[in-house]
Amino acid sequence: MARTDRDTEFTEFVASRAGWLRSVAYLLCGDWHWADDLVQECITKLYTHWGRASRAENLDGYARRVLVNTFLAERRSGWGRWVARLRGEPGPELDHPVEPTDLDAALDLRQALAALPPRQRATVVLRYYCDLSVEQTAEALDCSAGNVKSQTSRGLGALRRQLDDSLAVLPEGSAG
Amino acid sequence: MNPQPEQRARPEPQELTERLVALATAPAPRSTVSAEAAIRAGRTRQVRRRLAVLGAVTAVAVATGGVVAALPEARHPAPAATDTAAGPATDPLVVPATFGWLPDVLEGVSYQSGNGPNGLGFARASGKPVPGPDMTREGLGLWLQVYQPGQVPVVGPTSAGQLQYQVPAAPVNGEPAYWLAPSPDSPTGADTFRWQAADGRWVELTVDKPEWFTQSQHDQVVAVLPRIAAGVRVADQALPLPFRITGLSQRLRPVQQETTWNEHWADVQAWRGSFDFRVAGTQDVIGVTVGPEPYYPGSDPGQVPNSPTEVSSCLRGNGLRLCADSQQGLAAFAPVGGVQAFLQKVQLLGIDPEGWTADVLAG
Repeated sequence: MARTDRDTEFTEFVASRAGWLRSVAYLLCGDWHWADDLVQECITKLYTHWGRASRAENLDGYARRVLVNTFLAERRSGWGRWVARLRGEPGPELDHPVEPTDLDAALDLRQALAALPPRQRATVVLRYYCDLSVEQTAEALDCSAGNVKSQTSRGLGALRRQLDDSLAVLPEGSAG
Repeated sequence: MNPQPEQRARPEPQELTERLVALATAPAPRSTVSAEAAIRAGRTRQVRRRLAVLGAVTAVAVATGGVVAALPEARHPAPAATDTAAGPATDPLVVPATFGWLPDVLEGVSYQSGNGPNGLGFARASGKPVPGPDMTREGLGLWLQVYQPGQVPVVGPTSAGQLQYQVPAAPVNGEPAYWLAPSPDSPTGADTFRWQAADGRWVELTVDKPEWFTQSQHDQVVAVLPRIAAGVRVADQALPLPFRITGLSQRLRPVQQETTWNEHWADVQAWRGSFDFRVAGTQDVIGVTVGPEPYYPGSDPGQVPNSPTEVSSCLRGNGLRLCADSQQGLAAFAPVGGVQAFLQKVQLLGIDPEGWTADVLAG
């Protein structure tokens, strides 16, 4: 395959951002293998539209939005949900051994996130991991600021209940 | 009593962001993300995008696997499948099982050849899509999968951590069967039913409900899973397809391990199939996508590819439209005489499954 300037630019972007996108994808879907698939699909979409994407004022934000929309679209689709369900069965092959205590703690939050509806999960991840404001989250999810606030409130409430009512977070609106 | 888990379940205040960071940076499997693969797939997608006119087609590559075809049949979704036997395969859609009886609520059926994410064959029956939040449309799903010979399915927690138990059920066609349920004493709440086929392979049915569906709709299908199971035909079968390619059986090989998974559930009648053929003696793959003209693939055969390495062309007839493409470009078609010569060897068999064939690479 002949490499072009476009391909070089794209490859450099992927090399520098794939790890970050993978982390966001993992928080969204809770499975590293599915996260890889989400990122792979995301960067494929980016490549397909690279002419427009590369001119974006905020390429990272553009990529994050593509990733979140890819996740939500797959959650809506039967095949995507099924693949996720199947992939949840086998344990991942890790590069390094994990301390049981760390793993348990991670699983607590992972399971609590997994119990959230996809848009609530995306809202929580965008606001509290990606540190986006209400308005930025609304733009990423293509919805209103009010919708983001309500989704955030419900998501945090559910997380608190899942995590034994003790997870305190900043009041709604203060993270913007 | 070990106090550690209790402490872990009670995270300190204000720590959500820190805990999200910790979760995202925990040790993980090696990444399989590849810029090169994205470039290859992106180039192919650019070709296919130009074929679509309705804009309603979504192609989501989610896993390595086989070939997906959504077939239009509702109550009798497996039109005269042919059991596979020794000899060269001519059909890219060979599946390990087909649905028989289905309840009225399930209207469309799709099959996938090759292997799914866990090495399992796939089929899905889907209900009538209804509008959900965010302008989405989705229906009930019923998944059918066949385990590999000798493979015993695991009884363990769901991916969300919910415990599941094996609850015995009445035999299916005289073979052992059980529910996978959240309680060890009752099948109540189960959505998965497993049984052993006559050839010894384990088979599984799972009901999948969109989030906005009521539990009663889900339960209606769960209640008839044993009857659906009794009608499933477990055998490697070549499913008839709506086209035939003549004179190229020595040049092309059906590909059953490389996939394009296609989603098109907006209308269960709007079926389509995507099939790949490897050109013998090369690593090149020719992709064929076919569907009824009003739906997919829409195309303008006169469209010009963006670059010399991209190529596609389409054929219409008998209510069908078929498009051929290759991410390897024109060179992939050279061994079969070029794109137009390839299409001249394709015969479209119409929209009635009764007229379809499992002898896809004929002669």
